Amino acid sequence: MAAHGDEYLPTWEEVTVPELKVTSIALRAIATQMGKYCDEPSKEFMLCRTETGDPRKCLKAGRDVTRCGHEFLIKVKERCANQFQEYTDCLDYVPHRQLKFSFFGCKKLMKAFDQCILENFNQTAPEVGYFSRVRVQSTSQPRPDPLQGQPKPSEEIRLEPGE
Amino acid sequence: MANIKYRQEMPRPGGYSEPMWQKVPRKNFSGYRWFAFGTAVMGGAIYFHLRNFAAENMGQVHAMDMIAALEPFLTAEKDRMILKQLVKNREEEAELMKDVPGWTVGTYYGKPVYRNPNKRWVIPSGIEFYAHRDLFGSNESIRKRIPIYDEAGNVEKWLRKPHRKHTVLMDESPEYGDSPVKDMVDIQVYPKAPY
Repeated sequence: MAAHGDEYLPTWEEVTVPELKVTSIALRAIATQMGKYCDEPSKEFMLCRTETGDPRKCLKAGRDVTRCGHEFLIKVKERCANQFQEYTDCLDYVPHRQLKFSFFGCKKLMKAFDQCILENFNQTAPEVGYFSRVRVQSTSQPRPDPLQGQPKPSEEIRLEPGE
Repeated sequence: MANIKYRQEMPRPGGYSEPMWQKVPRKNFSGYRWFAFGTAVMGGAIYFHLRNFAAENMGQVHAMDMIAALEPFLTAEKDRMILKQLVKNREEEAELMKDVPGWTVGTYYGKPVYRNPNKRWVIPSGIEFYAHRDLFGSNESIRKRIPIYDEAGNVEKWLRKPHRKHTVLMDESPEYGDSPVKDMVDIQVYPKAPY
């Protein structure tokens, strides 16, 4: 195993958080609304993840994302459970081929769900294509070091045997 | 019988008409009519195609939106899963090799596998990741029976995995903190193995 030392890996408590225990079809049903509700933490996390390419450095941001998702799911369960359940059931019966491309069968239920979200959360459904666009995030986090502690090319590197 | 008058069968008076020898053209629309017909069919098809294409395209974009919106949630969970497995691997290796003198965990007798003084992230290879874990068998999420451990670390009893519910939402709001909270471990639905 290449990971040695305690400082290489995070502690067990750091990576153990309650995950979103939701089936895939329910996640799909709620995806766009949840993505809009958790827009800030999502963008922050993905920025960190792509900039550093290091899952250990983005654990805090990842916890924020999952916490936000939990918040939204619990709120939806409190206020829009019926609409959400109907929409999810409808999506579950759409054949996979159709699910991949369009949702013609469930548009009415989707609109009812969006309406419920609008009434209870004052959040309009994101327009189609919102998440497919490039979204720019201005973050307060410092820019990570691209060399990641590597010596610069001008510096002399001496390798010890066995190092 | 003698009254019967026989008569020779002959062509009708005036004779039969001439048989048609010359070629008869098939009844058809004129070229202009065909052209108009084809144009109408094609125009209608193009109209309906464009109309459906827009809707279909919107559906595709919507589906891609869903995947893009879910990506941070799934990535965060996947990262934690990988790191958890690596922590487990480290503990397993320490337990497995505790009797070998001179063995340091994560190294080959004190010699690190990679030269990595800055502790940069190394994507674990498959053989390393699955070293202490079955490919399909004893994964926490898919195995059917769950061991319950007592305080000494022995298996006390086995729980059967509950059936999958259609939509499972958390009942209580989980308590998170900025720093890792130890209470998080207790919120797990399944008991933690004594690592």
